[in-house]
Amino acid sequence: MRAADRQAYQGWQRLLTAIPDNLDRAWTALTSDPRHVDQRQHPLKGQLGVVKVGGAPLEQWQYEVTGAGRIWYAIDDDARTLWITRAGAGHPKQTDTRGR
Amino acid sequence: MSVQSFSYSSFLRGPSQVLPSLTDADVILERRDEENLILSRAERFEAVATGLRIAARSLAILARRHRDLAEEALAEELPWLTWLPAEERLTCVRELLADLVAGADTGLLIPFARNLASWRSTAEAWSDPQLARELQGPFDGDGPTLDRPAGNLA
Repeated sequence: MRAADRQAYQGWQRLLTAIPDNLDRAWTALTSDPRHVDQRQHPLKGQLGVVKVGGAPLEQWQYEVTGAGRIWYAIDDDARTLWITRAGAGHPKQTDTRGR
Repeated sequence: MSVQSFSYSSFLRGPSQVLPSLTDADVILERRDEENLILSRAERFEAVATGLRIAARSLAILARRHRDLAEEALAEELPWLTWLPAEERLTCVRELLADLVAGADTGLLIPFARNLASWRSTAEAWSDPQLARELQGPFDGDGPTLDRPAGNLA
């Protein structure tokens, strides 16, 4: 697992300080099964669903670390690498819970 | 309907403490590192499943005759659609409606639920314009390796 850039690394470090246990569970979950799908872990759709890291277009996924903490990551199968593209607090607004 | 939560371990220790709650509520059994379980009475479970199946089939019938109206009805239930870029809103509604129609025919609604969660998370990311801009990349791929957090703590 690697940070896709400096800012992603800083976001990861902030989560590491704030919620180390949750982040450890996230690290284990992502590295053991990066394409597991449930209510907490899923691929993004549309434009955000594919992102270039080092030139290669990769699938981008999201993992909910806590109620507000999020990790976004890209899966590089060829390099066997998970790129953390951003990490930190998620959306600033609370969404309507209808449709869950 | 009300829902009560118990830890899975307390249920294993004494089911008779938990089962009376099922009279007027469903029970969530919370497991520490695994997906929670739900206990329900059969009649209540069947009622929900039957109601859902009929509602989904009704929407499927509507979708076959008046696709625009079905899409509009579904969109009204998804207020977070507004955060998606305009060109992705229609894609989202069409995909979800197709999943729902397929689910109504087969009884398999997990694909719908998963796709719904994906689109909802995508919309939430778009709700923060700066985050959405950054997530589009491209990324240099030059950040450091991230070791397991528990390794760092030890």
